[in-house]
Formats: sequence, C-alpha cells, structure tokens
Amino acid sequence: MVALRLFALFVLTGSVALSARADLFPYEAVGIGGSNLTIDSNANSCDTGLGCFTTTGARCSDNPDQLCNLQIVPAGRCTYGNLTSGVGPGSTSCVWPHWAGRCNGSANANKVGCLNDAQCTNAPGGDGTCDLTTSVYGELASGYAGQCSCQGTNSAAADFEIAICGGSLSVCSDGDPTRGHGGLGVGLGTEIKTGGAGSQTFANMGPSTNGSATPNSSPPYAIENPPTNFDPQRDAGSVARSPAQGTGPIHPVRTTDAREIGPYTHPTIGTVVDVRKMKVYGDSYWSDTGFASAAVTGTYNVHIVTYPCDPVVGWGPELTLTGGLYCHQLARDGVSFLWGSDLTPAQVTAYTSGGQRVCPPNCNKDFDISTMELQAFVDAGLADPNAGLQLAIQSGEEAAGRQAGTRDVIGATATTSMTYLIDTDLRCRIGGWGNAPGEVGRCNNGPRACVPGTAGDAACAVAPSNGSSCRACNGPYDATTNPLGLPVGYNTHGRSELDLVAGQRIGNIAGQPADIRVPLFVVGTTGNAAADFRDIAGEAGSTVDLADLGPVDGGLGGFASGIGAGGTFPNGTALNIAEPCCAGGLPVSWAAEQGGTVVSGGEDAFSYTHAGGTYTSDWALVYEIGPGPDGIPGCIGDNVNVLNGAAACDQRLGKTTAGLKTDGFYNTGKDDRALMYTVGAASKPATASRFKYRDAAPAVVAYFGSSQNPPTVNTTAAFTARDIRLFVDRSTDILVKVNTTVCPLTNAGPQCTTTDGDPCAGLGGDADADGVCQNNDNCPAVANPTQANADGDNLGDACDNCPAVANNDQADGDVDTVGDVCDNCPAVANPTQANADGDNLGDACDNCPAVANNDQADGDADTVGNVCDNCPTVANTTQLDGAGGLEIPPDGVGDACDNCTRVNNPRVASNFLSTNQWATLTGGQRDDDHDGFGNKCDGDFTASGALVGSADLAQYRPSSGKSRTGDTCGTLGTHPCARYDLDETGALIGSGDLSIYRGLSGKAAGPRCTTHCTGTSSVTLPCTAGTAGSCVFVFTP
Amino acid sequence: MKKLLAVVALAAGLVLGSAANAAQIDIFLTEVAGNNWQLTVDNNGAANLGAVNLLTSGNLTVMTLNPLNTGISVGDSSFTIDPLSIGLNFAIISNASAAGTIAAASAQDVLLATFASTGGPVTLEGPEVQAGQDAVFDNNLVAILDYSITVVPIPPVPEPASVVLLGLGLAALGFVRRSA
Repeated sequence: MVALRLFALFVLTGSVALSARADLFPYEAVGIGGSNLTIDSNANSCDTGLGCFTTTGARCSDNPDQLCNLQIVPAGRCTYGNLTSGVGPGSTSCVWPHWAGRCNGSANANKVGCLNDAQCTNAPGGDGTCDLTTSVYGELASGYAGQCSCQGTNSAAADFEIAICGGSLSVCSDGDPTRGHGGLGVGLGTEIKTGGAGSQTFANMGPSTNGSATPNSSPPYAIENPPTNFDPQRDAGSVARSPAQGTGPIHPVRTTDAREIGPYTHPTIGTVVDVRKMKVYGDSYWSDTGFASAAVTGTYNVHIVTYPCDPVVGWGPELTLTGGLYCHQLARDGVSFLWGSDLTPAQVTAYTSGGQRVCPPNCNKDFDISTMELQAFVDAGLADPNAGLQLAIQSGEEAAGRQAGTRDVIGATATTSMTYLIDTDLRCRIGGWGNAPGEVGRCNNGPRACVPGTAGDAACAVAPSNGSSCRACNGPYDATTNPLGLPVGYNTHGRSELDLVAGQRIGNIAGQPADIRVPLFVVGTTGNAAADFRDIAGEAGSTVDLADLGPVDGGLGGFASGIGAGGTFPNGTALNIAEPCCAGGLPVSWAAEQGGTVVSGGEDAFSYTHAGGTYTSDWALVYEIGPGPDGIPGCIGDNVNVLNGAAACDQRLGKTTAGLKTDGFYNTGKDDRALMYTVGAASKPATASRFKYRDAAPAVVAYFGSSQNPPTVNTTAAFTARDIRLFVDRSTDILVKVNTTVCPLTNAGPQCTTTDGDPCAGLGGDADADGVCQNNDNCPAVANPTQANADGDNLGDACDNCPAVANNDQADGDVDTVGDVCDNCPAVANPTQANADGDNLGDACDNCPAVANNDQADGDADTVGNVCDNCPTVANTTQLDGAGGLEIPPDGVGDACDNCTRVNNPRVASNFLSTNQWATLTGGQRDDDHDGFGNKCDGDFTASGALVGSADLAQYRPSSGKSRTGDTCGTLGTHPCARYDLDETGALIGSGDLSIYRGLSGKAAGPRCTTHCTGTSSVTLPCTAGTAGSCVFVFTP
Repeated sequence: MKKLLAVVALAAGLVLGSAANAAQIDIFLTEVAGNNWQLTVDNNGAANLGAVNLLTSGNLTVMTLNPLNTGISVGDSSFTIDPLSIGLNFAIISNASAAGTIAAASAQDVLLATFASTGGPVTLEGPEVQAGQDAVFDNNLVAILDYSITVVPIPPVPEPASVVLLGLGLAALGFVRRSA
C-alpha cells in the first residue's frame, strides 16, 4: 500500500437527462493514461443483463442499480474502504465516491460510495440504505472520510482505474479530502495533433495536470465555477507521455485545477449529444493520467487497458464476441472514435504472450472517444478551419508527439460497430492499410501489413514473426465471391480509404440489433482526410455545430431535427436518378462497380444485384444542387451560381470546381437541399435540410437495411468511398457528409477516378493510366483523361492522326503519322506538314511551295508550277536564270525564255501594256522593235543583221530627246521611239539610252535564248504590243 | 529697330552676290545681253563630264553648241521643244564618244552651249525631276548624282529707293558696331 490515497471519481449525469437519453448516450468510453476510464452517465449503465463491472473486470452485478466499485485505484492501492477504522483519508488510501454516502446496513455498513438506497440494498448481503447525510466534503452534513480505511487493494491495477456504475446522482472522485496527502485524480482529455509541430491543446478538452510536488493551493473540494468550460491546464512539460517517463510517478497537481463535474451543455451540440464533462478532482496529487502513467509508453496517448478484457481486444486473435462484454461494451451504444497506430516491434514483443497478443494488461487498446472528444473535434474545427475529422489523433511514440503518419487511421463509427470492429478484425482497422498498394491485409499475429495470399503469409513469418497468415481486411466479404474479404480496390490501391468501412459486415453479424442504421461508415485517412466541419454562413449559430454537418437526430430513432416532413421533390416530381441531368447534360445512372449490376435506379431508391441477390435500398438520400424555379436541377434559369448544361451535371456531381464558391462551399443559392426519398416500411422522412459541401456535392447515399446482405456493397458501388465523412449522432443515426464522386457513370460520360477501387477491373485495365478504362478509352495507349475527340471519330485527339477530320481507318499512305484525309501531301511523307504558301499542298509536294497555287497548274509540264515558273511556257525544270554569270542580278526570266540572257531585263509588270500602250513585249520583256531581242540588248535598230554600228547610231541620234511614246524617231522621224529606249527608263530618249547603245555598239544584238527566240519570224515567246507598237517587225529606214 | 534694318539690308546684299557652288558639278544658265543665255559648267569633281540632259522652260528657242568645245558631239546632242507636251524642252549636250569629254576637271567654268530666247524668265532643271532620267553623266555616260543647277538672270538695276535702303542698312550696322 502506498501512501497516496485513492479517491474515486464519479461522474454522473443528471437523472432526468439520463433517463431521457438512456439509449442515446449511456456511455462514454475514454481511455486515458494507463487505465480505461469509464464514466457512466447513464443510470441504466448497469443495465439488466449487463450490469456493472469492477476494476478487475468482473461483473459486479447484473442489477442495474447495483453499486459498483467506484475507484481510482493505483496499483497495489486500496480499492475499497472501511469506515470503521477511523483511519480515513490522509492516512490510508481509500476510495470514496464524492457525494456518495455509505451504506448503513449491518452487513456492509462500511461500504461506501452508495448513491441511493437501492445500491446498498442490492449489494451482496444487503447494506440497508445509503446514508447521504454526512460528507467530508461539505456537501453533506458530515463526511465519512474519517471512517475510511483501506480494506483491500487491487493488485491487478497497473495504475489506477475507475469503474463507475452510476446511479441517479453524479459520482465524483476526489483525491484527498483533507488535502494533507497526495491523492489521485483522473484526467479526462486527450491531445490532438493538428499536424503542426508540437502539440496543440484545445479548450474544453477536459482536465489535465499541472503538477506540483508540494501542492499548496488546496481550496476545499468544491465544484468550482460550474459549469465553466474546461481549460487545458496542463503546463508545458508536465505531461509525461514519453517513454522516458514511462510509468513514472504520478504527477502532483494543484487542487486549484480541480473543477466542476457534472453535466455540460455545449453551446451548440450539448442539447443534442448531452455532453457530460468531467474534470479533475483532487486537491493535491493529481495524476496526469492521460499521458504519464501508461504502463507501456511510446504507443499512444491513451489506453493501456487494464481491464481483463474477454475476449481480447485489439491485437489478439479474432474472436467472436460471445460472453465477455467488457471492453467493447464500454463503448456500447455510444459514439466511438477509433484511431490508433501500428505497434512497434518492441511492443509487439511486449504484448505477446503465448504467441498471441494478450490483454489485459498489455493489450493496446484503441482509443474510444466520447462525445467529449467529439466536441473537441468541433473545437478543433473552430480553431483550425482546416481541421475537423481529419484531425489525426496520434501521439505517444515520441516525446513531442508526431503527426499522423501513413498507417494512422482515424475513423468514426457508431459504437455499435465498435463491436464489429473488434469482432471483425481490429488489426486492420487499428493499423490501417499498409504503405504500399496491395498491402491490404494484416498478419494474424502482428501489425505488419501484408498482401493476402501465399506471399503475404510468408511475409508475416519473416522475423520478427507477425504470424503465419496474412489476413485480408475489411473487404466486402462474400462467402463465394470474396471469401477473403478483400477490400474494394484490392491490389490496386490498397490504401486506407476503405478502412473502417465497418458497415460492410453489419448484416453478417448475428445477434446484432436489426435496426442498425449505419449505412455507411467513414473513414478519413491520413491520406485524404480533409476539413469538413465548417460553419455554414447564415445558418443559425455562429460556430461549427452539428447543423453544419448535416441533419441531426433530435430525438430517438431517426432523423428528426432539422428534417422536414414529406417525401417528394418540392416540385412534386420524382427524381429519376437515371435521367439526364438536363438538356445536354450527362446522364446520371448507376452502374455496378464491384461485380454487381444495377437493376434500377429509382427516384427514391435503387436496386442492386450482387452475389446473386438483388437488393433494394430502403431509402436514398439524394443531394442536389438546387433546382431553381423551373424545378430542373441545374438548368438554365436556375440560380446564377448553378452551371448549366453538362457543366451543371458536373457541378452537381461535384466533378467541377467551376461555379462560384463562398467560403469554400459551392454557393448555389438557397436551392441546395438534401432530399431523402423513401420506400417501404423503413422509410425515412424526407429532408430539405441545408447541406453545403466544401469540395463536392454528393449524390446519393443509399441505405440498405440490415436485412440486406451484403448491404453496403451496394452503397460503395454507388459512389466512391473516398473522403467520406461521417458524423455520428448519438446512438445509431449517423450524419454523413460525403465528399465523393458518383461513380461510375454509364454511357459515354466521364468515368470517375476512384481511389478505393479499380474502376477498370474487368474492363481491360487502364494502360495509359488516364482514368479511362481500356474498353472505353478512345486513346488506350495515350493518356487523355479528357477524351477530347474533336472530329467525333473513334479515336481521341491525343491519338488521332487526323484529330480534326474523322477517319476511323486512320489510313496513312505515306506513313508520316498524318492521316491521309488530313495530310497535305498524302503521297509524300512530311510529318511536319510544312506549307509555307498556305495553299492546300505541303511544301513537300507543292510545285510552287512559296506561291499559293492550289491548282498546281504547270503548262510546260516541267514540274514547276506556272505561278512560280520563270519560263511558264517553256519547259525548264532547272529554272536556270543568268547561268552565264553576266546577268547581274538574274532578272527572274529563265534563260530558256529570256530575250536578253546576259542583261538584267526582267519582265515588266502585268499591267504594263495597259498603261504603256506604246510598248511591245516578248515573253513579258520589253522588245519594242519586236525582233526577239530585248531592248537592253538590242542596239540593232536597222535590222541589218550586222553588228550594231553607225547605221544604228544614225537612227538613234535623231531620236535623242524624243519621247519614247512617240513614233517620231529614226532618221525619218517615223520610227517608234520606244525601240531606242534602251535603258527602259525615263520618258525621253536620252543619254542613258545612248550609254546603252555605246555598250552595244560593235556587237550583235542579244544574246537571247537560243531555243525559242531564234528569229523574228519564229519567236515563240508571246508577243504583245500596245497600240503604238506592232508585233510584226517591219523596218523602214 | 536699327538692328533689324541692318540685318535685313545685309541679308539682301549677300543673296544678291552669292551663287551655289558646292556640288561636284555646278551647271549655270546665265542670262546675257540680247535675251541670250549661256550654259556653263564648273566641273569640280574628278570625273570628266560626258553628257548633260536638261529640261528648260521659258522662251528658249535654239541651242547652239559651243563650237570651241571639241568634246561635244553635235550628232549626239539635241534640243527638243516640249517632247512630252508638258511645257518643258529637252536639251542634251553629249560628248562625241565614250573617250571624249566636254569638260575636263577644272576650276574654270566651261561654256557648253548658248540659247537664244524670246525673252522672259527661264527655268532649268534636270530631266530626272520630270522624266525619271538622270541629268549629268560621266564620260561613260554613267550618271553623276552630285550636281547643282543654277539660273542666273541679269541682275536688275537698283532703284534709288533701294540704294537708299541699302545705305541706311549699312549705316545702321556701323552704328550698332560702335555702340557695342
């Protein structure tokens, strides 16, 4: 027996409230420190048939009103007191229920902690009535502390624990009433890691410790400041949760940290979930029970279960719950949150006994969180808008804690499923999925992730052995089709998205209540958890509350609060899920995802076949982004924030981020609604509650009653299970926030990319990993998630050799990767399709690549198109021009047709003659004496055939000074002067022309092309002349 | 005011006594007595002058080549009255051959031709202005682009009032200088 006294901490809720909510909130199960603290806030916690349980795990009574041990029991310390010794608190540890009395019956006169007479009467031997007239704490006239002496100890208690079976009064615990000695208190709370460095504490999280070795502020025990919020009173460094502290000493705390205990009404959710808060009591020595006194450190903030759980909880072999209902029952009917982490190898070893995980005392129980923690989540959401359920509660392995890791999971489920979690395969859920795709199993004797199958079995056996069998976890079990219970998406993703989808087996658990309305369980994982809880602007209340999460069951057995009556569309029509979203929109219909087949998608339910059975949902919750006045969801004329057409469909399905958002939510006006359609007897009332979704609009949450088997397969087939948020109301009703994508869509609509399953299983896979299955991918080998297909043929743009022209045959004669129908050189390989002139033919096959000539006319058939042929009427494939080197620069007239092959005398403009009708051209070049020699090389004015000489000069001289347009030149003054315009410039025959003449003097005319310009009578070049000239050369001296 | 008068008078005197003389080849058409005009050239460049093509207006009627200039070819030279019917006459003074010259490089003006006139003002310009043809050529009849053309009519006899004005200007200028 140690010196410290033990005091019990009782938490008892108000009787009225408790009785009214007996089936709603009977238990909170909160693991703290090295013990598992249960606070029975329900008068019926010792239910008939269940009774209460002692710290040793024994059932103390089946009697609901049986007074059980109310103990805070450090190991080896007194577990029950004796009022007769006179050695009360201060000398001997004793358990004393605050506000409790003693039984005054003869047989057990010294039993303390009674809260009512029945508890004494029903105690073994009978103890008469409960004397509540005295109290050492001031509540009663006199106390029993002085009469308390230790009568026994609980050697099994590693640290301390409290087992409370309540009565109608609050049950409290105090450390040391006299404050003269250290006592023990109980801390309720936890630490939430929000991902940042260090820890973050949140208000209202309950007591913590602030130790002092010599407490000196010990106000009398009293309910201080009730019902104020709980403040995190844990000073930095006082929390011992590191391995170094291990099972270190109980940390003293000041009594001033003790606060009230009793009902606590949260400003927003209290009326709903009836939060009961407990705070530290204890005047002097106050244990940081939540973090410091874990028998095995380095695992969690919480929970070393000291209950003799039977069956084992956690890392034990899978057992079907049969008789022992201790541990899991602690969470019975309540809200449970579950999170955990893999055990370290050392822990595995430590917790292994006889080849199996053992419990207690070393069972590493997951942390059941109560509504108090639920509230903490809300608070966390307030503190951090990005927080919410995603708050991965993870700690303990290191002194500074750590952020949530890959294998950490956080899940929420109704406590009813807590049983199933334990029953099914807690290993999987605690540990989450493995790190790698395919690691969807757990070894049967350890936390190691594995891939179910032979290889996985072998992997489990690798030292340190985790067993011999890799057990698949959490799949849609079916005895025939999926005996291993492989999860959806097995071997394709294998992450924890599907983890904790507890509902998948609900229907298979015999003996469970039929009315388990948990159609969907949630799992936010470390990988995809996201903030969900946000206050909806304009909604009543200014803080995040359950209204922000969805409709809340305000009463028993169903959604009520916030959910209106009725069951049809507001516009009186029925929603046909399969109907097109709207004109131009994509049809929304259901399809099987995991081997099942949708039979029908009704407006208020849908049927689904699976494993030979056909299941019809009892109800379906259909969310839609508001129909506007026209009553048509998301169509023209609706709220401006609602997209139209196909975009509206995408918006509706949460597939687009388009559209206005407000505070992270799609702002679709006030038309948002959640419509619940009902069928059958299990119908639910319809709802028009407001929903807003941060990331996406959910589509349908369908509920399959417990009679459906397997029910949730249908549900998961209905939509991707990723990022599903679950919020649990009280006992069984849940609130579901779904950030999901309806999947899959049928027809040609875009398919969903799921993270929880392979959407292409059985569909040929998805070789290009673009999210479109092979069987429907218009580019199976090229990633094109958009499936854009401009020409509408069978191939997407990304792999279409003619993306703009339909060509299903993809013919490509020149094998240049450009299909024939869009190839600008279909017979010449030109993958670049270069086309400088922009005509219809690519450069590679264009006879005039630089000049647009769609007709490709080539009169001389020399392979050079007319429009770019320097001799369009004379075949000259080589296009030689100025080949002799004397025509500088080349005049653009091919040598084959040039009337001056050594002189630059380009063709005149095409309109030259029309404005200069005195001129004469051959082949488009000036040749005003039309002898086939261009002016610039023709000084032979006399056609004498001789060299240019004096006779020609004689003709030139009288022409000097004359206008070239006249016919007044030559010796007789009758020659066309143009023939003397040798420089082809200037209006007058002048010195420039004389200069040309002098250069020609003494030479023969020309030269000109020899083939076609061989004589005046055989000029083949086209000869054109204005009115002043003639193409018939007649020389008159 | 006195300063202004002096400046005006000085400017007038400078204009009257100046002549353009900055180009490689300077061509002058100078009026002489009896309504005759003399076409002279001052070849300041390095190249010989091969030909001159000019357009004139006014009442020039006959061009008479300088018979003393042996470089001029009568056969290659011509004076055509308004060949383009635009009121401009075309005068060509060309050398006898590619080897000949009509004006060697010299600082002295060379008389090319004399024009008879019926009186009145005369203009002279290069044909390129009207016809896109070059005006001055070298010995090979390659165009020389650096040339100037100046018409110098007989200076009018100053009227008495003008003489007085000039005198006042000069006096004013002297006064200003003394004042300065």
